[in-house]
This record gives sequence, structure tokens and C-alpha cells, in this order.
Amino acid sequence: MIPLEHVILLSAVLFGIGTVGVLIRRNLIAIFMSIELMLNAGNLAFVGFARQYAGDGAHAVVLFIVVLAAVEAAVGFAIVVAMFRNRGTVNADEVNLMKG
Amino acid sequence: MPISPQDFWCSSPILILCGFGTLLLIVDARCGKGPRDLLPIAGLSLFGLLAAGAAVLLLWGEFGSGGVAPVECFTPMGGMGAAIRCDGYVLVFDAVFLLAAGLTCLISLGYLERMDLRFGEFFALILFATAGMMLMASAMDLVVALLSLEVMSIALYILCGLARTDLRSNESALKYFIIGAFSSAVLVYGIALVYGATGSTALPDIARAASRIDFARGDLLLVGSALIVTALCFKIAAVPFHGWAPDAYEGAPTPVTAFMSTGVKAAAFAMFARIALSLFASYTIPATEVLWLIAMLTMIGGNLAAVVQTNVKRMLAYSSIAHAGYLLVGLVAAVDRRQTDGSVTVGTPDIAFYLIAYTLMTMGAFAVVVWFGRRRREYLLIEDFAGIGFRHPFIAIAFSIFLLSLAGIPPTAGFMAKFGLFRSAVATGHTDLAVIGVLTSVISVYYYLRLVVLMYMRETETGITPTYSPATTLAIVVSGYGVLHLGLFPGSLWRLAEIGAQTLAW
Amino acid sequence: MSPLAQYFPIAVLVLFAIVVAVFLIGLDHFLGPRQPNPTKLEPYECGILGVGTARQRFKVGFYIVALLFLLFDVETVFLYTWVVLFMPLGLIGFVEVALFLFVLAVGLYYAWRKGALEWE
Repeated sequence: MIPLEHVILLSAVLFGIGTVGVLIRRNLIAIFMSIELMLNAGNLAFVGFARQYAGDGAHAVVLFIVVLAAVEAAVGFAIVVAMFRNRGTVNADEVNLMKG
Repeated sequence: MPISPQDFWCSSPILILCGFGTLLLIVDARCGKGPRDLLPIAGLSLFGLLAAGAAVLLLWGEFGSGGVAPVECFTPMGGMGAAIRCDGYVLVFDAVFLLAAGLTCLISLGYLERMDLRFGEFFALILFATAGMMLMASAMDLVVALLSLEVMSIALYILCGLARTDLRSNESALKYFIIGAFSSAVLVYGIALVYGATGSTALPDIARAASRIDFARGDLLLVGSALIVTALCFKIAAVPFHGWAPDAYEGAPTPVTAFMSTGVKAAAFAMFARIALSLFASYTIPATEVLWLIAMLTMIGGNLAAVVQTNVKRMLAYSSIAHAGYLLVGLVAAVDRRQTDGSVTVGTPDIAFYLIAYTLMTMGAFAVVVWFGRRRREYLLIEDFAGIGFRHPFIAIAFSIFLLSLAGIPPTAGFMAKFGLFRSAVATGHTDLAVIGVLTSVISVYYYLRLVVLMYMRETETGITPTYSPATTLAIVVSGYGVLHLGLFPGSLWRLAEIGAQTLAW
Repeated sequence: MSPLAQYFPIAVLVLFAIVVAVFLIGLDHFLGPRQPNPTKLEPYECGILGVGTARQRFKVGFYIVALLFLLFDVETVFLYTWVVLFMPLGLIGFVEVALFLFVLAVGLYYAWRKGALEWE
């Protein structure tokens, strides 16, 4: 049986990688992937804790978060596709019409 | 007991909105592709909002006045807490969301036609977002809160990017989406940690567990709460998590900006208040200090940045950040009192009242901005408003009322609302926050009055000739009346907010 | 057994996989004769000759289909959980899932009428 600390540690590392990815990656697709990583880190933590508390509900939460991630990905890619059609780039640094 | 008829009755405003939203999608899809006549769709959406409003009124008669105890709805099997709750506080906020959505529909009708954005989906998305807001206000479980936040946010990402060929709209949607998705990921992780610390995602259980938590779990609760507060601060655009807001607000279609800065803010605060009062129900975590700092930074940062803006939409965006700061003052007072004696009736009615007033005055200001547009053209620079006091006196008077109210000058709603918040802050010993609030309000007078001065003091030959839209004018009249009424006779609504807050306790 | 020691089998497996891979590729490298010609160096595409470069952009239509697939595919996750609890949930569960599927069907109808399923 894997101890809870390891699960939480792994999820924290994944969350950290995702956060750093959002902050330093400039490709929009890579940013989305980092956000997915953060969501899945949350999932992992949920599953770990749920096993400890033996609650039924918390396992179902993971399903909701998976669907949430899919919906977010769909909307995000739709926005990126719309933007790519107009502008021809997926680089976050080139999205800078408004400043101040 | 899985589900009873009463659950459906208590959530009927939400169900009505979802039903009408789905109906609107079907109606819109039946017309196929391409532009369409928006009037029937807008009419249907307004009818849906009115129906939901009627349901809210009926529910208020039952639960809002405190005669019947608040109802917990949709308690699932398997030992989890109730999903949502119907009480007076929720119903007050439901009214705010319906007001914001209704005014948005009114001002968007002319706008969408003028800007060649004849998408029927617009109104469906507004209804879905409003349903999400109502769920946010009534969520009694962190997971439900997360999902309802997403229902609202995803509809709004699309609304921001509605002008598909407009680069600014694209950029607005993209920035809002990235920050929104990022903050919900942070929220998910925070919820997971809080669940790990307390063994539950239900707010009442969390409040109970947090008061008697051991040291090791306390750390987990601390980190989890910090993540949740961070995510919510992104949503309400509090400094230093506000970087996305001006860009997202400036690029989005103007009615969407209005909806974002009123409805979304109200929903996020309704949810924030409920979650904060549960997480920080006891002294386990030094919450008031952190919230105090964020409130101070938000008031100062928002107001200072607004001073240098030349674009009205952007200025209103920064002003909305500043108002989030004032609202946080109320939250600090509420959390402080909650930790002292467990009561939830200080600060919370002020937040509700402030959001009603704020919705009216901000909606009004944006309605005026929309009113001054022409076909495929908007006038957003502050300079553009020079001299309109002479050419459009009635609109200029209305705009002045909204701006004075935003600055918090009597006899407008903004003054009464701010007065309530600062009074609560002083009552709970946060005089320093009230002082900062008053001082930053003085700064805000400068940039609001600059517009008023420009409207009346400078005459220009080349004026704007707007495209007349009766619906937008109606929205301006309604908001203007509301702002003045709340400023002169705040009593009845004040009482309503207080009754609502009294049923908040759990 | 200490917590870390529980991972020992996994470490052995990883090590074994690396050793086998390096050994086989190395063996091939040292023993196999090499006589390259252009045809041999082409990427293997099931015997069909490759046309153009692999680094070209996909049509936007692919993304729209992928988005729709993603949404409708992932939503079925709720159906699996419903199936597991079919009997205890009873009629209420059935009605709920029917409503859920109705909403999905509205979404599909919407996408259809808006031309998202057409291939330009």
C-alpha cells in the first residue's frame, strides 16, 4: 500500500510543474497542457485523500473534474482556432494589442 | 432521501433559466446559419428572466422573510452534504443576477445589430451564465461551487470572444480563458487539500472540522484555503491578481463587459462570502490579515491605475477592480465578526446592498457607452465624450448620476452602499480600512468627475450622432431611477439585505 | 517494509527495461551490416510512398471535429457511473440520465444546424 504522503507529494510536484509551465511556456497549446496537468494533480490529490477517508463522493468528484477539463479544453481550442484564423500565431507573447 | 419535489421548487429559478437557455439554443439552431432577427430571441430571453424573477419573488415570500427555515436541496446518497441551499441571502443575490442579465439583454439588442454580431447564442449564453451565477450563490459544497463557477465562466469565455473576426475580442477571450482556467485549476487543488484536511467538501462540515483541527492537518487546511482564496481573488480581479481584467474588459463586446463587471463580480462575491465564512469560521487561520492586505492593495491599486486611463471601458475596468476592494472591506468585517462570535450578519448585508447599487450604476454607465455607438463604430475615448452635455442633455445627466454614484457622492446609491461597508468595517475595529477606503474614494472622484467636467465644460463642433436604440434608453432610465431611488430611500432594500443575511447562518 | 522499499520492484523493472533496450540496439549497431540507400532511409508508412513534408498544418476542420468528439466522448463518463448504480438509483436516476442525454442531443442538434459537421 502506497502511503498517502507519496500520493500527495507526487500531486504537489505535478501541480508545481503545471504552474511553472503556465508561467514560462509561450505556446498557447503548451499552456493549456500545463493547465490540464494542474487539474490532474488536483484529481490525484482527491483520489489519495478519498482512499484515506473511504468516502464514496470524493471519487465521483474526479469524474466531474475530468469532464470540466475536457469542456475547458474544447472552449480553449475553439478560442485559439478563432484567433489563429485572424492572426496566424499561437504564441502568447504576440497577443498584445492592449496594454496599460 | 435523494430528491424531493421541494428540491425542484427551491431551485426553480435556476431550472427555469436552464430551460429557457436550452429552448433559445433550439430556436436559434432552427434558423440555421447566418444572421437573424434578434428581436424574438431577445424577447424570449427577457421572458425567461422575468419568469425566473417571478420564481425568486415567490420563493422570497416563503423562505426569504425568515418565516420558513432555509432549505438544503439535492442531498446526494453516500454521505455527502447538500448541494445547494435556498435562503434569503441567495434570493437577494438571485435578484442581482437577474437585474444584471436583464439590463445586459436590453443594451445588447441594439448593440449586436449595430455591430453585425447577430448571434442568437448570445442570449442563450447569458441565461446559462446567470444560472451558473445563481448556483454559485447557493452552493453549499465546494465541488458544486467549482462546477457552477465553470458553468458561468465557460459561457463568459465564449461571450468575450463573440466578435470572432475582431482581434481585440479574440485577445480578450484568450486572456480571460487562460486566467480563468488557471484559477479554476488552483481552485481544484485547493478544494482537494481542504478535503484532505477536513474530510469533507460540504461547507458546514468544513466549518465544523476547521474549528477543532489538529496541527498537522492545520497546515493542509492553511495551504488549501490559501489556494482557494487565490483562485477567488483571480475571479474578482483583486490586486495583485488583476492583470487580466483590464484587457479582458476592454476587448470584450461592451454589453459583455458590463455583464462581466456586474454579474460575475456579484456571483464571485456571493460565493466568496459563503466559502470564507465556512473556511475561516474559527481562528485556525489568520484570514482577516490576508484579506485585509488584499483589500487595501485592491483599493489603492485599482483607483491609482484608473486615474491614467484614456479609454472609458478600461477606466471602468479599473474602477471595477477598485470596487472589488471596497467589497473586500465588507468581507474582512464579516470574517472578523464570524471569528469573534460566529454570527454572519455583519458585513454580509452590506456586501449584498453594495452589489445591488454597484450593478445598477455600472450597468447604467456601460449602457451610456453603448448608447453613444454607431454602426460598426464605438466611441470609447474619454475625449469623445467632450461636450455631450450640450447636445444630449438627458443622457449626459444620466451618465453624471452614474459616475457620481460610482464615486460615492450623495444622494446616490453608491454613497449609501459605501457608507454601509465602511460602517461595518469600523464596527469590527477595522477603522484603518475604512480610512483607506474613504481616501481612495477621493482619488476616484478625480477620474469620474473628469468625465463629467468634459461633458459640460468643453464644447466641440464635431459631435457624435448615435444610432437610437429604445431598449438601451430603457436600460439607462431603469438604472438611473434605481441609483437615485437607492440613494434617497435605501431603507426598504437595506432591510431586505439584512433579512437575507439573517437566514444565511448555518 | 519501509514505504520507499515498496517501490523497489518498480525500480528493478525500469532498470531492466533500460538495460534490454540499450543491449538490443547496441547489438544491432555492432553486428548488423549497414548499406544505406535513399529508399531504405525513407520513413516506413506501411509500404506506401510518403508525399510532401510531415510538418504541414492540418485543416481547421479537423480541430472542430476533434472538439466535438472530445465533448461527446467525455460526457459518456457519467453514463458509466450511472450503469454501476442503475438498480439503487431507480427511476429518478433514469430520468436524470434521460434529461442529460436530451441536453447532449440539443447540443448535437445545434452543432448540426450550425454546420459544424459539414466538411466545407
